[in-house]
This record gives sequence, C-alpha cells and structure tokens, in this order.
Amino acid sequence: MLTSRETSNAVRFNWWLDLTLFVALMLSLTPALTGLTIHEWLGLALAAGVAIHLLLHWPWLAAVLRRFIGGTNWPARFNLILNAALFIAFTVVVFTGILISREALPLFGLTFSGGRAWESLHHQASDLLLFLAALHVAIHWKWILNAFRRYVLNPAMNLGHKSASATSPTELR
Amino acid sequence: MKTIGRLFVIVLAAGIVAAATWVLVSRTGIATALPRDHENRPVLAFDGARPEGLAERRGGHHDFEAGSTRGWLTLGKNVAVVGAFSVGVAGITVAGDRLRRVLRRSASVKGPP
Repeated sequence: MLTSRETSNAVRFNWWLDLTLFVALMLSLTPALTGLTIHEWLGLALAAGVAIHLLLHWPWLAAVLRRFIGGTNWPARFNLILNAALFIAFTVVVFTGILISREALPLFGLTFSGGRAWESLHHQASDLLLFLAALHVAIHWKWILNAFRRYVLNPAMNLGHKSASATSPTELR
Repeated sequence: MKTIGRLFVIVLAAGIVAAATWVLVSRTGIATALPRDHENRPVLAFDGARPEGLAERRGGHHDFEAGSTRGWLTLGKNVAVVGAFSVGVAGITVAGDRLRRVLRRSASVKGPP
C-alpha cells in the first residue's frame, strides 16, 4: 500500500516524464529542426521513454484489459483503443526508422536496405502518430493541468512567498 | 522481476507489430502493387503523389538542416495541432457537461398540474 507522499511523488515523476516525452516527440517529429542525427537518436531514446511510461501505467493497463469486454465503461474502453493505436503507430515509426537509419545504426555496423517504401511508411505513420498523440494529450488534459497546478505552479508560488517573507522588512530588522 | 516480465511483454508486443508491418509491406502484394520509382523500388504514395516528387515534397532525407526556418515552422504546426485537439476536446467536454446539466434540470422541472 502506497502512502499519500509516495503517491504524490509518483504522480510528480509521471508528470515530468510525460512532459519530457511530449517535448522529445515534438522535436523528433521535426527532423528539419533537429537534423538527422539528433532525430534518430532522439527517436531511439523516445522508445525507451515510452517503455518506462507504459511500465508506470501498467496497473491501469492490466485492469482495463481484464475488464475490456464487459466490466468497464466506454471512456476507458475508448482510451485503451486509442492507446493501442498509439502504440502500434509508434512501433511502426520506430521500426521503419530503424530500417531507414543513416546515422545512428550504421555506427554499430548495422545497415538495412530500407527503400523508399519504408521511408514513405515512416512519414505516413509519423503523421498519424502526431494526431493520435494529440488526442492522447487532449483526453488527459484535465489531469495534465491539475498536476501542473499542484506539482509545479503551487510549489513555485509557495517558494516565491517564502523567499518574499524571508526578506521582508520585519525579518530584516 | 515483475518489471522485467512487463518489459518483456511490451517488447514482445512491439515485435509483433514490427513483424506484422514487415509481412504486410514486404511479403504481401502491397509492396509489389505499389508504384515504382526510377530504381524500380516500391513507393507508398497514398496521396497519389508521383514517386519522384515524394522526396522533394517531404524535403528529402539529405537536406535536413538543423535549426532551419522550415523546422521551426513544422514544430509550430505540430504544437498547434496538439493545442487545437486539446482545446477542441475540452470544449466538447464542457459543452457535453452543460447539455447534460440542462437536460437533467429540465427533466426535474414538474409540468403544469
């Protein structure tokens, strides 16, 4: 059984991880900004990040999967279907990215003869990934905002208040 | 131990998706039925773009210049897509909640005796 402090630490960690994943995804979807080398390494790092994200949400995933047929509500079911689509699109993007890699994998002596078909599939799947990720963020928007207020905004404001009171005239006197 | 087992399931699921993609594109007729580029390689031109126009339209793989204006514009477009989706879904949720409240209120109002 987790204590409330442990739970809040886990939520805070989740929030920061999700933010990092979001920024990494946005950057890796724009190779014209990062350049090809960073694009490829960021994509591989993102795969590791997504695995951690899934591990952290495993209890929810297992619970909804178990009750998918009969015992769960439609929003949870829709969420699971969306997440499955997101996982498939992400896997296709990473897999086709590995096949057409020109910077990261050749460093390890791995080269695949990925042709234009794989390249084009990589582009199409990444376009789909953007929309699915956007929907994923949209569905969890309330949680994202609440966690932002609770774990980022409020502590930052409290910090401001504390430092203000620490340097208040009465204290200085 | 539990984490390693879960990680194994995640990797296995990703492997299944990758294998299915491989089979679908390479082994079935999808790849062979595709239009061909000048080197006779299949091209997935879903939007009807000409094979030789694809690389040019996408910017190609060779002209990714880090920090280019086009890159910033694409990043802006991507963030705008996520923002628009979030605002849209939030708007639909709020509208749905209001509609539900109005319907509940009108159902609870008693009609004339």
